[in-house]
Amino acid sequence: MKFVISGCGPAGINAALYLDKLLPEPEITLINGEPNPPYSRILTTFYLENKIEEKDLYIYDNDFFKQENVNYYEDVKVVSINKKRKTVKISNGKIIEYDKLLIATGGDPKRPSVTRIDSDKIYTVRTLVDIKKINEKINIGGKCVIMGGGLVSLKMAQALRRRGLDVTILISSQQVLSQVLDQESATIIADQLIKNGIEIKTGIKIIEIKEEKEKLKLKLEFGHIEADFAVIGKGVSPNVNFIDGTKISVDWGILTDDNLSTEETDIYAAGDVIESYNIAYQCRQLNSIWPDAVLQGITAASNMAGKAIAYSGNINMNAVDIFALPLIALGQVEELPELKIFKYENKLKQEYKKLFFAADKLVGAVLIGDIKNAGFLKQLIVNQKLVTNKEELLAPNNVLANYIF
Amino acid sequence: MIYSELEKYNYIGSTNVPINIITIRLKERRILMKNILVDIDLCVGCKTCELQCATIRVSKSKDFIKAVLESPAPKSRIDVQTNGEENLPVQCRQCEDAPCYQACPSGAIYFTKNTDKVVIDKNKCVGCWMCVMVCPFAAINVLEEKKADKCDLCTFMDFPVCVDSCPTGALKYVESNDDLREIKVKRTSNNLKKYIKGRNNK
Ligand SMILES: Cc1cc2nc3c(=O)[nH]c(=O)nc-3n(C[C@H](O)[C@H](O)[C@H](O)COP(=O)(O)OP(=O)(O)OC[C@H]3O[C@@H](n4cnc5c(N)ncnc54)[C@H](O)[C@@H]3O)c2cc1C
Ligand code: SF4
Ligand code: SF4
Repeated sequence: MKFVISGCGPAGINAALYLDKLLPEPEITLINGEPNPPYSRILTTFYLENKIEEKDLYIYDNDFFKQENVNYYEDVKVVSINKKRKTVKISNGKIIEYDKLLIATGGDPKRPSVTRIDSDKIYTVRTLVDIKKINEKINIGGKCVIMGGGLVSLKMAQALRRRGLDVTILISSQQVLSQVLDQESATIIADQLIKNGIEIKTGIKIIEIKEEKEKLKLKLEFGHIEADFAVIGKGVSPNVNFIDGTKISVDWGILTDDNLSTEETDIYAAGDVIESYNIAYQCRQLNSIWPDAVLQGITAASNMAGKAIAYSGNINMNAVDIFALPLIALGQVEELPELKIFKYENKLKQEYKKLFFAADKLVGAVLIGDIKNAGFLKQLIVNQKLVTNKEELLAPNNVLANYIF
Repeated sequence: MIYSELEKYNYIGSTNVPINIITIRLKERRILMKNILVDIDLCVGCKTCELQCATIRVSKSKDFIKAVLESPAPKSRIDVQTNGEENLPVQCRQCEDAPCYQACPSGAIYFTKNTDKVVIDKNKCVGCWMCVMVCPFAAINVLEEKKADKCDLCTFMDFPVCVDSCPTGALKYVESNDDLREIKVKRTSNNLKKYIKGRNNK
């Protein structure tokens, strides 16, 4: 059986590793769109801040790609699919046959129109190539603006600040992490960033960006700001520009069934490129996180190999360390009238917890400082357990004992 | 035979977590690992295991008197919880479908080659807290040095110190094939209640 996997992020690689474990000598073709061996995307900001070395980024065993049953292509992309002949065409002109195809092409960073000017001082953050370009820029030092207040933006801000740059975050909404946190929790994170020397400007509308005398000039709705370079962190949109001529449909992301099969026969999809069911919100959305990509990769591989297993969704969740203050946000974190909210705060210890309940079910949680019980709370949300003593879940100790007995 | 036993547990709870790569490795080699069995009927909540774990496995000095004075205080990897009436020692359950392993983006969490134990290589850990976010047993400690830490069943030593120190025999270190079915259920991450032996879980 010929398996072709397009994309070598965590979804693609874990699918390949799983196929190799599941079947005797499966013929696997891996197509890596990037010009370097597969690496861990999440580690790139740690690499940028010099916490780890470049070699630490390559977390997969290199021998796998040299195995006889594995054909590995680097720095080429899938450009089209011929569903009748069951082949894909790749950017070096080669045609590759498949019995089962996996699309695990992730997403490309969004670029707001105002940033589409001809300047080599505006960077997106997704690939190792992006990070290396920024790394070269840092050595010169200076001032950087980051557009967007999402998770990747904050990670970038932290890394750049730790490398000694002046960092300003420009956010169009009223708070950092607007997709992840409620306003109150976001204020705590913003304070921590400010305390560590990062400037945050909210409610910002950028009208125009120009390059003048080696500097970027950003014209804002009110006032303007100057910088040596800018980083865009505006989220990603799925890479699906090669699916013309197939029946695959795309809404937020590629649509799949529970077996991660697309609407086209023998074509599966996994990772950031698909939309999946969010148990906390009870709807389908893009849930672009690493653990989902891994699990979906494994699930798709199993189904491609003929062993049917289902993927029935997950919740949105994020973990990040903001200048030594750990933060985990799970599920539906919104100050809504229909949600019951329980809170704990200890300012001295920098601990803050907030739980969100819809009737008797936990649907969301924010943990700052003391994050130890996060995984347990996550499990309660995913399994939609009825929680009778809600306050108990805020305690640092004995949560499992209280719950199990 | 063992594999078909495992397959039965492929679907548990609402996430349908597929038992991952590790199951397949088990299929090939047909051996199962040892794990700690917790018998809650016998636990009196004395926390001897906590002290031993914190001193011998976590503290810098490895000496009980000095360990108490260390800052940051060494965090035990086993946590004896109580609801006032009953006690529940909690530590890493060595899930076969280990969500922590699937979530770790740095390669720090891995399965040991010969014994299939889930362990953390601290040198590789970057403190991203993805593992803490997904461990259903809340078994991962956040160390002050910004590293994740958890029970490794004392893999690189002779015998788990908590089991060794437990005065009532509530902790046992058992071979999985002693009672295959029981351990199988216990090692699945999505099954909070069934990982212990005792009056509530016969
Ligand atoms: C800086 C940064 C920090 C992050 N931090 C976190 C975090 O802390 N926690 C978390 O959960 N998530 C985090 N993420 C998100 C996480 O990295 C993604 O969810 C994950 O990488 C998705 O995996 P994937 O395999 O679906 O896609 P990707 O990792 O995007 O891989 C897809 C690959 O396919 C390639 N490709 C694209 N088109 C084609 C084509 N036509 N043919 C062949 N190949 C193609 C791409 O070049 C890419 O290499 C972070 C992301 C970034 C950028
Ligand atoms: S109990 Fe937690 S730390 Fe242990 S293997 Fe399972 S997920 Fe990982
Ligand atoms: S905190 Fe460390 S061990 Fe845990 S997921 Fe992150 S890198 Fe891996």
